Amino acid sequence: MNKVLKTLFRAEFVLFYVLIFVFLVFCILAGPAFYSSFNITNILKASGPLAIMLYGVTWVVASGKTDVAFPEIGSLTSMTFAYIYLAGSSSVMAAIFGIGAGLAMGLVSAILVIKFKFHPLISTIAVSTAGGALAISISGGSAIKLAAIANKTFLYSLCRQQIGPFPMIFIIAIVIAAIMWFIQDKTKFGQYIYAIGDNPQAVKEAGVPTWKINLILYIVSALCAAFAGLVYTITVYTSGQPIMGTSFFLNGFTMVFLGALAIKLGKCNVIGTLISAIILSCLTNGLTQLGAHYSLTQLSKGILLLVGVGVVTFTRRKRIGRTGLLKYE
Amino acid sequence: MSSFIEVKNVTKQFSGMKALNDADFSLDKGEVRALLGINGAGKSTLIKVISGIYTRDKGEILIDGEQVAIDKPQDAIDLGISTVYQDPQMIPSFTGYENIYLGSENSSKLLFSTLNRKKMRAKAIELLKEFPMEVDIDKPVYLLPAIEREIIAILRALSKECRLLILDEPTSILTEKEKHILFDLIRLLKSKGVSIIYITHHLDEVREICDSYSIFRNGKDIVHERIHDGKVDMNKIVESMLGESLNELYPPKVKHTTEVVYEVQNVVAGNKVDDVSLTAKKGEVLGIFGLVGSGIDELSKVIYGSMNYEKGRFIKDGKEINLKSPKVALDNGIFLVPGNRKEEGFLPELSISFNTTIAKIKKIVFAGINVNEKKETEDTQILVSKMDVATPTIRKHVNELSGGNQQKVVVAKGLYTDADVYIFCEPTVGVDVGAKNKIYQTIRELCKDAAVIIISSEPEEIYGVSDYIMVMHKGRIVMEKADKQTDVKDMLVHAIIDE
Amino acid sequence: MELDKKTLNKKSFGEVLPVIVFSVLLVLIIVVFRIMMPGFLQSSSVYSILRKIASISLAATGLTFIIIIGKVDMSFHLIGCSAGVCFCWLMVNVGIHPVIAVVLTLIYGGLWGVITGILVSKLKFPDIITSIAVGSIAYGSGYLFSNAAYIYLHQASEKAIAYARIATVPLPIWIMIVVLGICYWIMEKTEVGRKFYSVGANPKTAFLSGINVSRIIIIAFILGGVLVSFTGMFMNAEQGFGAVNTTLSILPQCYSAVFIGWAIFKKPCIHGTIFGASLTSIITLGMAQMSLPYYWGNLVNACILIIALMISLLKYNDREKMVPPEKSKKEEA
Repeated sequence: MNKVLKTLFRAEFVLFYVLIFVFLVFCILAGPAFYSSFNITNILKASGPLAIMLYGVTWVVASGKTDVAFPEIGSLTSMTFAYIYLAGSSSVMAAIFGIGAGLAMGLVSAILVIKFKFHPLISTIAVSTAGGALAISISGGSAIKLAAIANKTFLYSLCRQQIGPFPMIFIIAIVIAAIMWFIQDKTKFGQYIYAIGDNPQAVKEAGVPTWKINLILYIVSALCAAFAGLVYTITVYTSGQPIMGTSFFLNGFTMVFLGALAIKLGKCNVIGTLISAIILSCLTNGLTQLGAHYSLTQLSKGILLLVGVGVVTFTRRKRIGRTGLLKYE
Repeated sequence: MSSFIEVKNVTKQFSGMKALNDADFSLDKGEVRALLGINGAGKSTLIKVISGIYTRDKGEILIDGEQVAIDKPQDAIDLGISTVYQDPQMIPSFTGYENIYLGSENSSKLLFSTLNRKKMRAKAIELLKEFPMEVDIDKPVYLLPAIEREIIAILRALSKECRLLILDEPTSILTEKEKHILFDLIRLLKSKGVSIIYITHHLDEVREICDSYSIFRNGKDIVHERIHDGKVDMNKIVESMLGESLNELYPPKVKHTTEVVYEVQNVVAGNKVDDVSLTAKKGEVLGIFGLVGSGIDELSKVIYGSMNYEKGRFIKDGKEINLKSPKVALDNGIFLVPGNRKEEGFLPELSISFNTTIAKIKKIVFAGINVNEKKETEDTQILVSKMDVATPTIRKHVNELSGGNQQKVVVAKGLYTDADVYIFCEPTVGVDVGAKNKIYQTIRELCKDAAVIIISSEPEEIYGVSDYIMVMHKGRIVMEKADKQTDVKDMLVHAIIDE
Repeated sequence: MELDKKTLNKKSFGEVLPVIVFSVLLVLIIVVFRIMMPGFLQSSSVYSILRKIASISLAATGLTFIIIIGKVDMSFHLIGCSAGVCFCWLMVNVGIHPVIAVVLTLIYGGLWGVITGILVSKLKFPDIITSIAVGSIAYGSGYLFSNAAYIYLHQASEKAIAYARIATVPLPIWIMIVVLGICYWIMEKTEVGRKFYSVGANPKTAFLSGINVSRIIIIAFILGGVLVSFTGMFMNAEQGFGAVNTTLSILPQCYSAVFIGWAIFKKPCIHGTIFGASLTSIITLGMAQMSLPYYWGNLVNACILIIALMISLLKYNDREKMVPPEKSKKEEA
């Protein structure tokens, strides 16, 4: 057992191996259609916004809380943007309002969890329900088509660029990941995120203002989800989406927990989230090409999530230890 | 020498009980003072007042002759006062130097300022140059042995320009060898002018490392003595700690004929319980005394089936039982009143009657499934009266009662199971005198028809209530005598001296 | 304790007041709806509201068991989806008699609960994420049954579970009364119920009192799975076809129901959840019948959830269980 763990530890790159493995498997199974430059671009194009949406949530989970509001934040941003844009504003104005709306949801979550000290999960359930309802209410339940937007926004044209096989949005995702990685690894703030996740009591006793950190975490989570929602609206859907798709939820958490297998073993981090986003996109893309049943995609993601959770649980147990040896279950 | 810190006439009260009663305390620069006293004497309250966790009700604190306000922990830290508790709180996955500088990673107040791990590490190395100790600051602390974790915690205190370091039972998690490493560190700190308050039960350590000692009793500082040439009058200390025995507290011991009910043979659990055997007899109270960290708490859990063990046999009424859970213990007529009533003893937000009946709920179950509430009420009322629980109604939630009454409910819960073996672990911690008396009475009454084991770190309690006394030290039984053949001093001596 | 002799079966004023207030509130809401829509709660609309109450109550009760023991569940609505299509598939594609299909479906739902229960109790997996994972796997399995299409229920017997009536009361209501009655009885009057409350209060103490904590956790998750299977069956039968996403939307309503109940009765409990479920169902359906779009109902539900949380003032202490405010602040000497 120890030997196995040692190998895992040394190979904090295990997630890279998984990615390569998954990629190769589909290359073999789905043939040239899969590894064509066009398809790879598609995969990366899909992973970009997906990863961005979950970066903030990654940090929140790393600090020990669960945030389920991100899909609805995306929806609210999307609808607000579409509505304001169609009402005649410039795309920039509309974008500001859109992101502002998403941010507002994040702030409500923050107030409920930090000020009122409610359960983080229940609070974000409430906020996501309310936000989701507001998003749908903007148009009565249907998407708001924005065909005209295609050629008018900087963001859209930016996203159409490519550098080699790498779509711009993917590069943006990498850049954001790099910035957040820097913050995560090299600033006090990043240090405290993980400290709170490990032992919130010790952090408080050290005099660190944990409420400030938690507030920032919820804000960042909302901003990432809002920005991703915006990107989806403009580039993928070219319409305001009242419901961002139920698969975001499962995809999201799978990415966050699977991401704990990379770099910082046992701890969720943004690089891991990005790699997992690519893995999931490969999975979805490949399975679709193989004509696999939709359920297979769902099932494999669910199992992957379970694997990720298992790893995080076991490494955490190792850290906390079995002091006291109490048998209690 | 002028005093560095002075505590004058400080009083601190908790719901009617005076934890500190007009106490005085003072310490010089570079002095290592041992703070002695039995549980509840006021030691931990004193250090919590000095370190800002509690605010004093009355009195003043002076540092370098000037009055200071210590209203919150940060005030104390700013004044150079740091505390290191038993098993200090850390971030397990962070390295040593990250833990040392948690909260003060760099000089900037900005949350998003960069931290340079190399610089942090270098600072830690600098600190280590000033206080040379052998410790691995690069490994995540969960991988470190206890002494190194403690050194990290102490280094953390030192990194804040510490002038007064308070160590609360620092050796309870250390091995013998590790203790000497700690003492070297203390001598080093002393030479640098750091004052140290050293709270301990171990008088041999006091002799070895302290300059002086203060004995607290009933919230007051009653003795303050310098130690000359490492000589300490053990007898005098023990007497002062104990004071006049409150003989009225302990009911008369009626002797009964005895019968072996429960035998524990050669039980081993980690390094906390090292080949312990005991015999509990109906008609007799078996008292096991040991200081904090001697393994008494673990022993109480092992013989109740709630803690894993490597070796051991458990024999009840002549038959060996497979003690794999508390349920097995209960089914075999063994009940434990656990050491920590808040976390292990009672169920919060639930009524007295619920709590009293829960361990043997079958007694009020009608036709195999339904709970008979009338019987629940009647049975509970009988026990509540018997234990003198002060409450207007048995529907009150147990967490709303005072400590003594809570403990009485836990005892009532045990009585309800009609057990043959009752194990009491630290039964009177934080409990008022009246409740203490009641619990001792109950113990003596129970021993007539059942076997009673009382496990505690209060020597007078064990002596006052037991017929047969064992002393535990570092996981082993070091003494076994009938009560008439020993006394409290003898017990304490065995508990603290290495043979 | 003379007080106890006199008041054994009487509750104190403080306990009864919230119930009264709440019941008055419920009546007021119905009256308001009635004024705004004269047809509200008459004949046909009564039946749809009753069916909805039955659906939500059952699922929310399953959730209640899990919340009582101090855990959270994000899988029940997904298990309900899976069970619902399983039910339709059994009747239409396999040709099993509806009654047997009901039984098999309940077992199916329970099995998913077992998986989560074992992972959480024995392997100490975190409840939230594990239930998300298992629930998603269950949801994915639902697609296997339905082949991503609707399974149409053509025969009356297949839809009977939602539409049948006994003495003019819809079958779902009868099932709700019986099942929830049993659940209430179990929780409040039996030994097992006490064990649930004990585990919720303090698992360590429960363990030391001889309770098999793992087993209780597993049972709670099983009950969650079984009860929500009813909901899946009701809702699919009512709409006339089996669709995988049918019970997805019940998550927030069920949480609201449980917390409203907690706010009223100062503890999570079956009877509280029934009250809460009634309130959320009536508001949701009432607003729908006012031709207000369905999402306004969700918004109101979310607000009610937050209000319920505030009333019960539950604080969440760094991963410990939820406790009321003053009691967590007691100083220790």
